Amino acid sequence: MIAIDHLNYHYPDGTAALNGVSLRVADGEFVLICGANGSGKTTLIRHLNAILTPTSGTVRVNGLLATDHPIQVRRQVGMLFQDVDSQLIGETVREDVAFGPENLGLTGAELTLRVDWALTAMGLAHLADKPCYQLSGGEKRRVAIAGVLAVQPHTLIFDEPFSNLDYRGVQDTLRQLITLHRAGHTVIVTSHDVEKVIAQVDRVILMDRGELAAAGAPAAVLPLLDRHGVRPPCAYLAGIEAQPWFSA
Amino acid sequence: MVQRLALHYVPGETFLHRWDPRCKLLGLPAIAAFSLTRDPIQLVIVSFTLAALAGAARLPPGLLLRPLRGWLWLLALVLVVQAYTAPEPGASMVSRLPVSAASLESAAITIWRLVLMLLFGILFTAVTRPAELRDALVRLLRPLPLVPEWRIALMAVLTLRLFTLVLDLAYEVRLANRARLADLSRSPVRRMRALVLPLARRALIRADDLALALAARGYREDLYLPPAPVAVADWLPLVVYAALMIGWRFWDLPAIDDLIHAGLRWAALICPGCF
Ligand SMILES: Nc1ncnc2c1ncn2[C@@H]1O[C@H](COP(=O)(O)OP(=O)(O)O)[C@@H](O)[C@H]1O
Ligand SMILES: [Mg+2]
Repeated sequence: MIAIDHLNYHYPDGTAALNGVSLRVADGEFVLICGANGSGKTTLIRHLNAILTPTSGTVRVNGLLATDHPIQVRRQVGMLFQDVDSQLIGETVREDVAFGPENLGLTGAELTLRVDWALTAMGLAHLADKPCYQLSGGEKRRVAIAGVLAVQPHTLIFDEPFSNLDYRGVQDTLRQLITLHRAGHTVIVTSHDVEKVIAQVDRVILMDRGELAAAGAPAAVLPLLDRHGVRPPCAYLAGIEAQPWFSA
Repeated sequence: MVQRLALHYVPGETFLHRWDPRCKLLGLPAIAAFSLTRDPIQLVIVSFTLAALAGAARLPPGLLLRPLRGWLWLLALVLVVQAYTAPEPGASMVSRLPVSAASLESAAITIWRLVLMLLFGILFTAVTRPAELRDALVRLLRPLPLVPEWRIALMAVLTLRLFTLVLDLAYEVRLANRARLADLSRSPVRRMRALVLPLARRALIRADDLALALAARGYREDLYLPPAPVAVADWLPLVVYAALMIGWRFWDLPAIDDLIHAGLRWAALICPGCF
């Protein structure tokens, strides 16, 4: 379980990006964090794997205080950045996916096994030796996911996974999210555009200007979206039942 | 996503923000030039002046110091190289280290000067909008024949822009590295590679985008920028500065450091225990 209590975060320039956020995410949940641009979604999730340190307040992952055990927390919580290019480290696909497990001290057959497993899981086996910069956008994103999976975290966080994707890209990404969730991972997704995932998630968390504006079942949060600067899904506006973007 | 620290404009209404950018462009380097000295007393004065200016500009605390953390390893390298080169024979040695006290001191002074120069650069960009800098350069360079003032001004602003861009990207990439457990890696070469590869890749992509965006937005060099006379009040600090410099040069006014040394001697007389 992830437990956030009274989290405040000020960027070094003084911007107060989070104000008193408290939140629980249960194991195996599929959660959407939505909010307008600049509402603090990215800042919030960056605390969940200890890559930002709270100005005050606490973040606990399975009881471990993130500030005291950043490495253990990062092993358990994987993060997909909005811009994959900042995340891809290796020259080739295989090299990149091996980066995390190597840092954990895996070598030899164990390392190969782990990397092959992650590559297969993301359908990348045939691209293993391709240079990362020659990949398409969708392929790069899959490499990034494989790189995170290879560390075997229980929670996966996706920052704006749908930005700049076409219809097919959105469907592919949704399918990946759902598959990962079904495999038992806790999945947390941020988006300023709720339309695409709302039909799939268990819970919606609404951020507004660094504060938690609402949290609850999608049906409960939907009526509040507009008031906090998030466009409600078309289906809701039209008063009909939402059609998932992808049905499995 | 920007780190909004080093080399970014920090909005404000102080006199440093409002000072005509042309005067700023001449004035701040004129003050910064004093850090070219190797005299520690003078460096102390320049450091205080810098701190006073940063305070007067109401810059957020940490703005000047935090970026330095990124430079620490480079500064440390300079320190080591400087300390180990040119040890004079017979010089007194720092206990058990193969460096002489004199070369260590000289290395420290070199670092101090470097840091001051960096900080003046950060201060200047914090109180000057890029567009103001561009216009100031165009207006300053226009009287010179054969100088393509628009191109030079654009180059200066773009260089600055790319520099900040790279710093912002580096912040993002460092976080991504951390998320992927790079801190566990024991090989410094591997850690360096993990930072530099994505950084270079993203910087190149962005540089391409920037060039295309310039073209797409119809960049041209023959725009007319109306003349804007500098107000008297804006000239004043420069005139006072120049007068003092000329005064010291030609009329034997007491030099600042002589004044300071005299002050220190007085202080030592009044309060001998303090020194
Ligand atoms: N590195 C940074 N330095 C200063 N302010 C920042 C930085 N990153 C984000 N911010 C500010 O923090 C607030 C929250 O930003 P962010 O978490 O990126 O929002 P979101 O992801 O919801 O768009 C915004 O006001 C943004 O301008
Ligand atoms: Mg964001």
